[in-house]
Amino acid sequence: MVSFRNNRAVVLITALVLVAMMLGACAKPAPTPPPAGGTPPPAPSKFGGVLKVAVIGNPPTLDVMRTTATITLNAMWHAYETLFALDKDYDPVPYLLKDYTVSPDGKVWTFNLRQGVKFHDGTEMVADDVVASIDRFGKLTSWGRSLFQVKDTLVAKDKYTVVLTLTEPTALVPLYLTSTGASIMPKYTIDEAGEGELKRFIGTGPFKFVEYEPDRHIKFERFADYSAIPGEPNGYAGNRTAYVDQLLFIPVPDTAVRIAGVQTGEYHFGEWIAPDEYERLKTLSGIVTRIIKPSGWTTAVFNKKQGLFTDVRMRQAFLAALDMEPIMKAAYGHPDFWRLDHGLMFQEQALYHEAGKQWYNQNNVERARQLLQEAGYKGQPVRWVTTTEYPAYYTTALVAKSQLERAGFVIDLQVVDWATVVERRSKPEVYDVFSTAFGITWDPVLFLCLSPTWPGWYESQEMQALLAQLRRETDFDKRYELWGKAQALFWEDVPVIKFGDYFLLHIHREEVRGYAARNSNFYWNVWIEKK
Amino acid sequence: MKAYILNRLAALIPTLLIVATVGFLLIHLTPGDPAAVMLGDEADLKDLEMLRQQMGLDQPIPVQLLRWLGRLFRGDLGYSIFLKRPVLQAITDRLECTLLLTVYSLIISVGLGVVMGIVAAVKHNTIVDQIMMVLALLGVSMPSFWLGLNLIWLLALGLRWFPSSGYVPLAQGVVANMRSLFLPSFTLGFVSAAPIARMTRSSMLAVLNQDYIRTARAKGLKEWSVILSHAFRNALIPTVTMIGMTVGGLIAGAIIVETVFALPGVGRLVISSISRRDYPAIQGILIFTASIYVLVNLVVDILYVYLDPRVKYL
Repeated sequence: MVSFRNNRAVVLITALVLVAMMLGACAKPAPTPPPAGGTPPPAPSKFGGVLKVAVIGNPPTLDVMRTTATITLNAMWHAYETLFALDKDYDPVPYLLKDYTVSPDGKVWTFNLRQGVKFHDGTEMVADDVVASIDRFGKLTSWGRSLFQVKDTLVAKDKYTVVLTLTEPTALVPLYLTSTGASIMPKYTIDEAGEGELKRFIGTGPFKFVEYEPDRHIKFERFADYSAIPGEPNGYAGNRTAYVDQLLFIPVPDTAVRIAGVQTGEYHFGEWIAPDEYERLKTLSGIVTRIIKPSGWTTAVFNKKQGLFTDVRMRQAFLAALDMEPIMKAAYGHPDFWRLDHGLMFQEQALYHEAGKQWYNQNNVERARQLLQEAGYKGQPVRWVTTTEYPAYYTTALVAKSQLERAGFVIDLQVVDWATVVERRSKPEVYDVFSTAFGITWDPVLFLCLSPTWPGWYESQEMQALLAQLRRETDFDKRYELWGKAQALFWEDVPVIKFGDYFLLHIHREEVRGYAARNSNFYWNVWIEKK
Repeated sequence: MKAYILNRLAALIPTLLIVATVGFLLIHLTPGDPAAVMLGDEADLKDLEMLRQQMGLDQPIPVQLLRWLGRLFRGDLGYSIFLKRPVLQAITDRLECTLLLTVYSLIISVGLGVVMGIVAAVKHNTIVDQIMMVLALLGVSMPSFWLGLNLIWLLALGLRWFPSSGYVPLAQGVVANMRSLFLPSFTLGFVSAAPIARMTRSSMLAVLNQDYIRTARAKGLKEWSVILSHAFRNALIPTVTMIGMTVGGLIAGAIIVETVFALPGVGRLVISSISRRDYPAIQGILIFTASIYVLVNLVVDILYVYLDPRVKYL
């Protein structure tokens, strides 16, 4: 039994506790402490230190040819290098190559390797390693298989020369070979792996792989015998210097904890920060916010093999009903992190095209209703598979659902975890639409959403013919024209819905210098400024 | 007594068999598979089929179940798909972190809970009692992730007394280890102290009204001796039951707290294994934690005998 006399005291104490908590909430964070590591050396050098990067999770595997997961590729490309790399304009330039020649018919590619390039095990990179690596790339990766469709032979002509002969010309050889999946590794590590995954992770990169402790870190350290390209850095290409002694990728799943860790100095770098924290983070001293523009576009993919959306009018009705602004606003919040754009290639890319713009962001309920009527839609539920694991996917689906229902669609939103989305999307009988997003795509022929074999199954002979021409054509103006036709066809055929472009947010401590803020993160050329 | 313990240990086998079978079926009936996760978003369907075959995932579920149970009987928990090591090793690698987290949390929850419970009972119907019970109510009502994030914000970000996340192994120093685990242990400990406090309070209240307490006081014993030796010991049985249940709760709570504080423990392994559909790892951890749970229950039952000589197992 609680006496009335004491109730007032309870209320008073509870109120005091609440006020204390609120005061705590208003308190400014303490000033940034000096970086760990004891007294600074007498002459400040860019070299030294351990760079700690808080990432969102663990890699599914470390084998760059056996996954397309960003988390694997963005870590492992510190150890591996490729024959070509993308420069500051995202054009491929020779990297592990001294130079290369192409025969006039575009079918024979001769690659001259840089000499004296060392692997992390101390052996020299030679033509046999390159042939073995590119062969594995051709077998295991989708880009590789795409290249190998037109491969005739791939041989080591001598110790430092590799010759690739094609059955038909393609302009995309250098681009394919910039893929981290086409990393060059010693032949014996490939032989050792057989049909399975790599057992050792040895490359030519500025950092060598040391260890992977799941949920703890992936550790790299500076490779002392690195064969750097002299001169200045140039995008992902040019000079690469490992300034820090060690590089740690630490999985920290919670975005609030990544932010807190960067604030307290436990991590130097926090990747993939929720944009709704942006305004607050901008005001914090000692923290630098970096917006990665462009990053990707959010999409809903139709099942074109079976069900309601095999009818193009249904897809057009879906597109007509959508008002993209509220959708993107709900998903990405702050206007610095999204933009409305119809282009499949980004504004920042050379092949960005105006074609099909009139079909994007129609917000035309009348037209949607009319198209639904023409298609004979009778209110069958549209099974849309989405996930809250990537909050933007769920939010876009949720806002779009209400817009679509206004036009007469009946939407059955199926919210599952990401692994379930990935499984369901490969079964044409179980869904009509699924949510996903595409990162930056370096060439139109590589768009997954235009592929007849990727989930959603866009089987259009007209599109495939245009893409085949694009693959062969080398002249930029002709390619631009062809891509315009393909993009116009995309917006009429609507194989997927493009909602809009989104940009990512990363943060780092102010003493971190040299970070390039490009589409894929890398930490060569990054140093820790000593105070 | 010995026969009783042996009997209980023997009962472990059917219990674990049921856990193993039900767990296996639940995991395999959930959509999603590890091959798709491993290959990433942009993989095509041909690669997926190939990897599924390599992993044996194209076999019928009963066949996969029998194979797994067969291995289990040989003491083999299997091989983790993503960690590339035996599941047992994956668990033991992470056991230090989770074990210490559980021990520290248990110390905090029992310490806080028992003291709060005794004080509340002794100061029954006073303001002290009410403060204790409001605190207990707060503890029961607060989700651990919310408390964890607030502690990070207050004690790591604001006062900078503790690191916000990460784990320092015991080998690198006891103090550093305790500092790295303080916030997660307090989060977990505070939340589970609440039911212990409430249980201790109510059982103490029941005991404090007994005749033998009046007799003890009448003998002229000091008040603290009456409370601790006479009242508390007799009030302990329900509290010990509650502590036993708390251990189970701590193992479950570790799943959330280890994720919030980025600790490389068994709890976090559960979450990442489920989201990646690492079947052998999920199944292995399930068996492992179920065994611990059953063993803790057994220990609690044995403790009853020592606490209360009237309890006898035949």
